[in-house]
Amino acid sequence: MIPDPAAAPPRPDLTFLRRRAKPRPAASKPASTPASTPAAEFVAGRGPHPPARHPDVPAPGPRVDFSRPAPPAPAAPASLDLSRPAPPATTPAPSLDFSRPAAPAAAPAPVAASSSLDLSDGPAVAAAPAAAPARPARPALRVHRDRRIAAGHQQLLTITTPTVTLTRVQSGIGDLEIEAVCSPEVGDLRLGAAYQLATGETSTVQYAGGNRFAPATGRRPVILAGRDEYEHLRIDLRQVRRLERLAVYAFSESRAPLTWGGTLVVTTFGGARIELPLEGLYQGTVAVLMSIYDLDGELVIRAEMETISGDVREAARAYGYDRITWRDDRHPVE
Amino acid sequence: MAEMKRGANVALTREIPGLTSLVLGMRWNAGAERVLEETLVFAAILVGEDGQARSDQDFVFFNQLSSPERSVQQLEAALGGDQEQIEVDLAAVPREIDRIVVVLYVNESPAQRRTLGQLRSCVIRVLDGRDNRELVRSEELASAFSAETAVALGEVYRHGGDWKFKVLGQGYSKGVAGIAADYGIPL
Repeated sequence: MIPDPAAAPPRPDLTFLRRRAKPRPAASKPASTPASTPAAEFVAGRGPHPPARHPDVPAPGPRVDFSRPAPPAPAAPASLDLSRPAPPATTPAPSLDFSRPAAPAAAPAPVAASSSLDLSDGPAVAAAPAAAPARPARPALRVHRDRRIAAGHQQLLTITTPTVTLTRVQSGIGDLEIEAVCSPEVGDLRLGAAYQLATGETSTVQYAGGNRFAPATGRRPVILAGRDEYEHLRIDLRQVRRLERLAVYAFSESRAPLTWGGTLVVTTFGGARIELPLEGLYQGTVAVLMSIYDLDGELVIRAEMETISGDVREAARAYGYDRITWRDDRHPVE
Repeated sequence: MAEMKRGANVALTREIPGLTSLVLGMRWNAGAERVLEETLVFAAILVGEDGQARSDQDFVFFNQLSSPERSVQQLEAALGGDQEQIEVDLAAVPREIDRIVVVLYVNESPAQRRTLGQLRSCVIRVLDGRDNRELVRSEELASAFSAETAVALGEVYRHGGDWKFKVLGQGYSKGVAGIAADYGIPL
């Protein structure tokens, strides 16, 4: 029940409030992203996808065409990868690794030089709120400059405005529903997502012929795939801190080319709707429609709209989910 | 230990001179209801004189609140059986914040409907921040819950130059959406 204190994003303004709760043995996220990094560029639609953040994986190389990312170039220089604290294995930045230490008390952890990092976990001392007396009344906490959406409102994702960022409240209350509102004329369109959790665990979740739960095992799925009138994915935002990112894809179950149409609709707990029309896709059997990243506690929703040649496997790989192992071109190894 | 009924209030800083920081502690017991336990969220709302939060950032919960740097041992000692606590440094609370309301809610999800009526026990306590000594605690609040999915438990608020604490125990059948509407938190 107790939310993981280490996972709380920073609130440098709340010097007068502090939370106490027992740490849990769950995965935590590393400290967050300063505003002026490629993450901000990504949010603004200018930057590459924040790469996978797994210690064993070399960061994908810099991409030239940001809107249609090429398949990741492994072992390329990681110098542009500032959007997430780089793992110690690839860059000499040990101070950024705040993934949960085993024994907080024992760790005179490498203290980050930058005070912009959230040192909310036990051992870190640099951001001790006690050291921050008088400060501006209301510091700007919106790390990501991006379009926002209000409860009950609608926003369209387009080529010129491909992203919307949810507030931390919108990213943490209720659940987030992603629904493929498509008529049968489109074909036998099915919905799924490649995902990566904060633990590094990565796979796919899909209702048709796949695993309906993410992660596949455990009592509390973070993402559920289902079907009512349309196929949908639901993210349990109570567990949003466990989620790193996902890429929502659609595919033709029969492998007959789809006549793309309809709309992908994302609905928040407050009834805000983020809509992505699907007509613009090139014909094909698989397309990556949308990506969602947890950046600093805020979910960034971005239109991708790229038809992929191949199947789900190629779609996942093209978006940097290259640690998934596959049984065939559509199903990961269980 | 003083047990306070719903609606009762106490003048904390007047009765306890030298009280500079306090701790709001929550303890609840969901019994065997693991799903309920896992979907409960404890949050604090920073409220201005108009009774409204200034923005979504005044809803302080697991997705936006930092924690003190303490060892696990210190935490366990400090928590003393509470599931969650919030420390409030009274002198540092910005002028424009008139009260701090603490709430508990069930994060609603279609697959997992739970209510606070399933709680066996739910008590809010106020501790002296200097030594973690319990100052007051609420009466058992759980007995009045049925279909509610959120509750405003209590509040610490300014009164003249003092800080007071009041037990609310105000349940919401509309859950955190009802709380958000009452306190003006944009969802």
